[in-house]
Amino acid sequence: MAPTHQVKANDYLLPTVVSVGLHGLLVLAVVWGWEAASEPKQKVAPRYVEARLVALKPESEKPKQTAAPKPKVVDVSAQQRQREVEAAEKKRLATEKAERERLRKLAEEKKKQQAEQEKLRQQKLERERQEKERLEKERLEQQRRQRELERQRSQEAAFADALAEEKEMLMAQESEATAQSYVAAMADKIERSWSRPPSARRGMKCELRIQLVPTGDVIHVAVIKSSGNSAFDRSAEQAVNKVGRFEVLKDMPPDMFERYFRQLTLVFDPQDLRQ
Amino acid sequence: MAEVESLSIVSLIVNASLLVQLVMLILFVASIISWVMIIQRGRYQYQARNLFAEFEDTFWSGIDLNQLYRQGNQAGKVVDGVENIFRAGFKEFSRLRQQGGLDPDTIMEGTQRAMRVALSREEGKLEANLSFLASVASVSPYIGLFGTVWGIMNSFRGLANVHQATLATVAPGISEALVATAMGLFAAIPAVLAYNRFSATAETLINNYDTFAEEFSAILHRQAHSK
Repeated sequence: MAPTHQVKANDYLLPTVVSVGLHGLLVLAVVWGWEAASEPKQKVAPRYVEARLVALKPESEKPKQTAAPKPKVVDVSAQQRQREVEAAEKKRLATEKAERERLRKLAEEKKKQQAEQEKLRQQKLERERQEKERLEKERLEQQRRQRELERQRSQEAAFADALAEEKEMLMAQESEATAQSYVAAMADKIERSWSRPPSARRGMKCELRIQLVPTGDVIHVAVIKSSGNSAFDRSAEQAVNKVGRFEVLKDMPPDMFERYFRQLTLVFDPQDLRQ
Repeated sequence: MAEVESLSIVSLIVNASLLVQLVMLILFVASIISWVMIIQRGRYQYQARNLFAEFEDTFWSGIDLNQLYRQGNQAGKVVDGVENIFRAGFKEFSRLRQQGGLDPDTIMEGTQRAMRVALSREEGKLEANLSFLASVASVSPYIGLFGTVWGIMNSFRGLANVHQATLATVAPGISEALVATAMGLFAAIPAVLAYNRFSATAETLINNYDTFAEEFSAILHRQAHSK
């Protein structure tokens, strides 16, 4: 039993390594692969070198041509004179050959030099062209970035404007709503201290102008739009006077008071009247 | 607005709330451990299958049982699986026989008991760790879901204080929370597959062992009564 157990215990090492490796690979893939392909690949322009092997071909052919007829001349010759002539001829041929060789070499060298120069020139041109391209690209890139920045900035400005506007509107709405709630509280209070005249009917309403001070005290009340029933109007006016002081107004921000409550127009419209 | 908010998975995980991060960590660790189990189980069961085939071949090749038993004593030989059952049965059988004067039925009873013990031990070895895989398979989706629900809950709670709720205010939170579910599923799916496969293999092997034990005891029975 013991040896098998040992084998099993050792067996855990490899699985652990493999598993941790797999998860590590996964994490790496997630980290690197999530935003892949966003960077544009930089293109590398191939630098080509022109190779010319043209000059080498005639060189290997020529010696064969000159060597071929030679044995024939040797075979035919028998006499001294002829041999001399032959020797002279040989010599001449040799010098000629040497001369030719020299000239050829010279020409070859020249050609090679020319080729070299040509190559250099080409490389230089290529380099210049690449440099120019690079500069052009950079310039375009910069322009693009500039434009992008401007666009972004203008967008931001527009956004900020819109935001401010919206905020203002919201604020206005909010303060309106708060004011409305204060007015509702006041109307409730008025209604509670209102003694209804027997002639009051549903649908009757009158508009009151109430002048207030920041402590909530009523300075003056006036009916600016009658309900058509003078008893009703009077009772409403009396109700406001009876309240005398609106406690709710004391803890109100002063700017709101100035805006809505110094001169308040209140529609007195009690809901619980009989038909 | 100046910087584009990056929503890479890494930033989502880093910016998640502590509890969600904890959930993700638990799931990640569960995934690692379950893969350790998967690989280990896979190798062990593969080995057990091969050993079983090998041993059956040798056993039915007509080899002498004493020799087969002695082969297992050699140093460095892996003795596992069905061979353990054979060895337990054979050892008990030969010991009881050496005592002499015992009833053949008593000998067979002892032998079979020894083999049953070895069989249940092998069963335990084949099914070790499978319960862990089963737990990961069934629980990790729930853990992931819990992380997600918590994350979404938080993101909606944050939303309550905002006047204007746009999709952009909720989306990052939800996306962040959903990573937890994804991780839960990621841990659970391989565990489910592996559990099903390994338990099926274990069952097949145990059946095979059982059959072998019966066959072997038939042989021994014949020997005990042949004298």
